[in-house]
Amino acid sequence: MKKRLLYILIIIPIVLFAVTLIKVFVKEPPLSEIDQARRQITEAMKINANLHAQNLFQNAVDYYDSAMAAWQKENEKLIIFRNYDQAREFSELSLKLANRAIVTTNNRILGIEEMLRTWIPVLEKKVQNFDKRFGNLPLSSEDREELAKSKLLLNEGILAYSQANYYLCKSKLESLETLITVLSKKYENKLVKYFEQYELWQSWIDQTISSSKKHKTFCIIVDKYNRKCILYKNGRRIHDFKIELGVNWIGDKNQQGDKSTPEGLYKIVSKKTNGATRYYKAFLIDYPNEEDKKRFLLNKKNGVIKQDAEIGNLIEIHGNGGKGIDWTDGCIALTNFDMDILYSVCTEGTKVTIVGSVKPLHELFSYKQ
Amino acid sequence: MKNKFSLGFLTLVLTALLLASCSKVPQAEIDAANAAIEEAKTAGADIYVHEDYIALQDSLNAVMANIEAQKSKFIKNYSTLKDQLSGITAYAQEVKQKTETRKAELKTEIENTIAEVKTLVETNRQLILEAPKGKEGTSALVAIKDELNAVETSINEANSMLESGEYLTALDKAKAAKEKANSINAELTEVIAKYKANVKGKKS
Repeated sequence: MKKRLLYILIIIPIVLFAVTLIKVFVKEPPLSEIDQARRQITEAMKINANLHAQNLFQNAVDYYDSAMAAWQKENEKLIIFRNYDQAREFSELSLKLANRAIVTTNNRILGIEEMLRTWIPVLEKKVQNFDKRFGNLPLSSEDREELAKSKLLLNEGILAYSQANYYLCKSKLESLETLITVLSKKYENKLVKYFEQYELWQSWIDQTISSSKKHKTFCIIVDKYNRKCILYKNGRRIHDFKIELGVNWIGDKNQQGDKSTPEGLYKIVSKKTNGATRYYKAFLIDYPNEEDKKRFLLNKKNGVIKQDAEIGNLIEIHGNGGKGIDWTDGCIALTNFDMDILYSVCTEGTKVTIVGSVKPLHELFSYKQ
Repeated sequence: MKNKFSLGFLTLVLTALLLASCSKVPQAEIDAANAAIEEAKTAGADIYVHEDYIALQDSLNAVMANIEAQKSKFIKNYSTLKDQLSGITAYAQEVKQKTETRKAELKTEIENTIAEVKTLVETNRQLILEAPKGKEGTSALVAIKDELNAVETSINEANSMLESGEYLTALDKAKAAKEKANSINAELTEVIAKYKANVKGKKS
C-alpha cells in the first residue's frame, strides 16, 4: 500500500512537470486569426470581390493559403519546436487584404451603379434622338437592323442593371454606344451634306414670302425634314400642317419612280376634287418646271441617271395622309381635315415652295436634344 | 519494486504517446469532400447557386483550419471533424443537385421564352403577309421586317448561348428579344389597323 502511494507521489509530479513543460514551450496555434481571415474572405466572395477587386481578393486568398501552408509546415515539427508566427502574420495580412477588397468592392459597386444609373438615360436619349433626328431618313435595311439591335442591347443592359449584373450591363451599354454612335455619325454626315443646299432653300423661302406679302396672296412652304406644310397669308405664317412624303424623300427628285419629292419653286396648276383625284382632294403643281427639266437632262448627260430614265410628273399636295409614315410616291400628303382648310384658301397659281428645311441643321439638332 | 515502478512509468508514457498519435487525419473524408465540391463546381454551382457554393467552400475551409488546430494539439481528436466533413460531402451533393435543378429550370424558361419569341416572330411575319399591299403598307412594313430580322438574330444568339450552357446570359437575351417582339407586334397591329381604316376612305 505504502509502495503504491510512493509510486503515485513520484508519477504525479512527473506528469505535472511534463504538462507545464508543454504549456510553456508549445505555442498557441493561429486558429482565431485564420478563422477571421476565412470569414472575411467569405464575406468578400459574397459581394463578388473576386470581380470588383480582383487583385486584392486574390492576394487575400493567396495569403490565406500561405498561412495554412505555414501552419501545416509547423505542425510537422515536434510539438515543442513549433512556431506559428509566420502563419499568424500571413493570416493577418490576408484579413487586411480581404477587408480592403470588401471596402474597394463596395466603393466600386457604388461607383459603377451610379455610373450606369446616369449612363442608361443618356443612351436612352441617344437612341430616342436618333429616332427623332434620323428616323425620317431613308435608312438602309442593314442600318434598320442595327438600330433594332441597339434597342435590344439597351433592353438587355437595363435588364442586367436591374439584376445588379453591372459588368454585363456595362458591356451591353458599351456595345450599344458604339453602334448608335456609328449610325448617328453616318446619318449626320448624310444630313450635313443634304443641308449644304440650305442657303438656296432660304433664298427660295424669302422670295416666296416676299411675293406673298407684296401681292397679298397665300403661299405654301413645304418643309421636308420637319414634315410640315406651312401656309402663309400676305407674307405672314398662319398655319402649320403635318405632312407625309415618299420613303426616299431626302434630296431632290431625279427621275420618275424614285419616290422623292422635288425641291424648288412651284405653283398650283390644278385643284382636284370629286373623283378627279384618288386622294380626297389635291393640288397638282407644275413639276417638272423648266429648271427641273434642265437638271434632268444634265443628270442624264452626266450619267447620274440612266439614259432610259424618265422625268417624273403628277406631283401633288393631297389628302389621305395621317398614316404616320412616309408612303407616297413623292407627293405631299395631308390629312383630309387639313386638306379641306388648305383647299378653301389656295387657288390655281398659289406659290408652292418645297425645301429641305426652313431651319438650319444646327438649330434643328439643338432644339431637338 | 524497481521493476514495478519502471513498468508503471512506461505504461504512462505509452498511453500518452498513444493518445497523442492514435488519431489520424481523416484524409479519406477530406478527399471525398473536396471531390464533391469540385463536382458541384463543375456542374456550375459557383454560377447558378452562388451563395450555396460560397457557404460550401467556407465550411470546408473552416474544417481544414480545425484539422490543423487538432494537429497542433498534443492530444488530437478528429471524430467531430470527420462528421463535419461527411456533412460537407452530403451538402456538396445537395448543392450539385440544386445546381442541376436550377439549370433545368433556367433551360426550360429559356426554351419557353425562345419558343414564345419564335411564335411572336412568326405571327408578326404572318401579319405582314396579311397587311394591305398598297404602297403605304409596303413602306411601313419593310421597316418592321428589318426589326423582326434583328429579333430573330438575337434569338438565334440566345439559342447558341443555351446550347453552350450560358443559361443566365441566354435568358436575358431571350427576355429582351421577347420585349422587342411584343412591341413590334403592338406596332404592327396598330399600323395594319390604320391602313385598313385608310384603305376604306381611299379612292382607287
